[in-house]
Amino acid sequence: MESGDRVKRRLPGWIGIAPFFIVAFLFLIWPAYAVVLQAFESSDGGFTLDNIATATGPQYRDAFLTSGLLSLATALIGGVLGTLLTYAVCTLERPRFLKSAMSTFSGVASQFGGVPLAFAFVASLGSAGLVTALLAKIGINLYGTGFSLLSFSGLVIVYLYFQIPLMLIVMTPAVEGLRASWREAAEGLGASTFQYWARVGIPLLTPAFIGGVVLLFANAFAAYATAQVLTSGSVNLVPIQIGFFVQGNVFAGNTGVGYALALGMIVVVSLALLINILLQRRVSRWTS
Amino acid sequence: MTRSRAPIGRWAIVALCVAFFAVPLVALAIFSFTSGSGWTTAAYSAIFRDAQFWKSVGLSLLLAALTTVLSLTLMVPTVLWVHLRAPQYRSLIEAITLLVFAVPPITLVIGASGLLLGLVPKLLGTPLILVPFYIVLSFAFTFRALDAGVKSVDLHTLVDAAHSLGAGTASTVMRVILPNLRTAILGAAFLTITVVLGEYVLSSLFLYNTLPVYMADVGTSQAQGAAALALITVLFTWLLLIAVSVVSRRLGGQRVGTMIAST
Repeated sequence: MESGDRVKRRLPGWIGIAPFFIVAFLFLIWPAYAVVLQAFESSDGGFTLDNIATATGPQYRDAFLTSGLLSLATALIGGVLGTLLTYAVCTLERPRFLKSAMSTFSGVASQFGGVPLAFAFVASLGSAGLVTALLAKIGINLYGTGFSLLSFSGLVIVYLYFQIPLMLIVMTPAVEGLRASWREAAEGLGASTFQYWARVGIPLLTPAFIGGVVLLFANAFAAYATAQVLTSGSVNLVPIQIGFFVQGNVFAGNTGVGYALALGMIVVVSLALLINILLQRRVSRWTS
Repeated sequence: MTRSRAPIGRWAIVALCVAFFAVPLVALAIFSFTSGSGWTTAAYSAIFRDAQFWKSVGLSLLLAALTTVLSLTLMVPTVLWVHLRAPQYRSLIEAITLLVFAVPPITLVIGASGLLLGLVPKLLGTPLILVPFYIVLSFAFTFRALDAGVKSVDLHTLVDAAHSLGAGTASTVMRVILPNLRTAILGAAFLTITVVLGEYVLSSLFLYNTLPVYMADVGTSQAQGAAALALITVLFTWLLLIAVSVVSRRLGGQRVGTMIAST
C-alpha cells in the first residue's frame, strides 16, 4: 500500500478522471444542456415558454400519446413475457446450455434494434413476408384482418424483439434470488403453490418487475431507428418528430419546438430511469 | 428453485419465445435468397457489385476500429485510476455513463447539431466527428465490462505484489494488470463494435453513409437486397461474438457470453 499512498500524494485524484470527464462534457452533457437551453429560447434569443407550449399542445399531443402507448404496451407485454421466460429459463435444469445460451442471445438481441431488425420483420410479417405468405396458404389473410407491420400493432410486435430480451437481463438476478429454501419453508408451514406465489414469490419479484417494466418503457420511448426505417417516418412518434426538425423538414422559424420535444423526451426517459434505479436498488438489498 | 411437477408450462413459454426470436431471422435468410420464381443469389451479387456497399462497409469498419481503440484508451486508464487511486469518483463516473440512457441518441443529435452546425447538418466535413459520439454511446457498456473485470481480480494485491517485486508503474500496468483484464477488454471491445456497426440515428441524421444508412437506403427500393445486408450484419455480429468467446476461453478468462449478458 505504501507505494500507492506515495503516488496518491503526488497527484490529486481528479486528474485521472479529467479526460473521461472532458469527453463526457463535450459530447454528452453540453449537447443535453443545449437542448434544455434552446427549448426555452425564442428565435430572437430571448426567454420564452412558447416552444414548450407548442410541444405539449394539440399539434404534438398525439405524438406523445402514441409514443407513450407504444412504450407502455411493449413494456407491459414484454415485461410479462420476459419475466415468465426468465422464470422458465432459470428453473428448467435439463438442457444445461439453455440458460447461458438464452442470456447471451438476450445480451446481443436487446441491442439488436435498428435497421436489421426492421428488415427481419419486413421479411417475415411484411405484406410480401414469408410468415404472411404461409398464413395465406392455410387460409388466413393477415393483411385482410387490418393488420399491418407499419401500424401500431405491427410496431408492438417488432419492439417486443428487443424488449423481451432486455426484461430477461433485468429479471435474472431477482428470479435467481428466490431461494429454494424460502419455498421449502413455505411448504413446510403448509402453504399451497398458490399461497407461496401470492404471499412470497410475487411480492418478492414485484419491485424488480416494476423496475424492469419502467426501464422497458424508457427503452421503447427513446427508440428511433426501427420505427423510422420501418415506416419511413409515417408513424407519429416523438423521436420521429424530432428527426423531422433535425432534417430541416419543418418550416423555419420554430426550430425551438424541436428542442422542446427533445426536452420532453429527456424528461420522460429520465423519470422512468430514476424509478427503475430506485426499485432495482431495493431488489439488490434482499438478493445480495 | 427446484420443482418436481411437470414443467409443461415453462417449456411452452421457452418454445414460444425461441420461435419468436428465430422466425424473423430464418425468414430474413430465406427472403434474401428467393425471388418470385425460386432460389437465387441475385440480391447478394447486386450488393457486392455496388461500389457504395464497399464504401459504407469501409466507413463503418473504420469508425468501429477508431471508436474501439480510442474508447479503450480512454476507459481502461479511467477505470484503473478510479479503482486504485480515486474510488470516491467511481459513483460519479457510473452516473455519467448511465446519463447516456437518459439522453437518447435522437436528442443528442438535435443538441449537438445546434451546437456544431446550426440545425440543418450539411457541412460537418468528416464522418470522424461521429467517433467521439460513439465513444459516449458505448460508455455504459465499456465502463460496466471493465469495472466488472477489475472487480473480479484483486487489483490492490496484484499492484502491491508487483511493486514489492520491484516493478514500476508502467510495467505493472502492462505486464500484470492488462493481462488480467484481457477478457473484460475483449468484451468491452465487442460491445463497442456492435454499437458502432448498428448505429443509425446519428449517422443518418448527420448524413454519413455508414452500413446501416446504406441498408435503409437499399431497403426503400429493393427489399431482398436490404434483407441480404441485414443477414450479413447479423451473421457478422454472431461470428464476432463466437470469435471473442473462443479467444477469451483460450486465455482462460471468464465466459464472454456471461459477461455480455450482465452488462
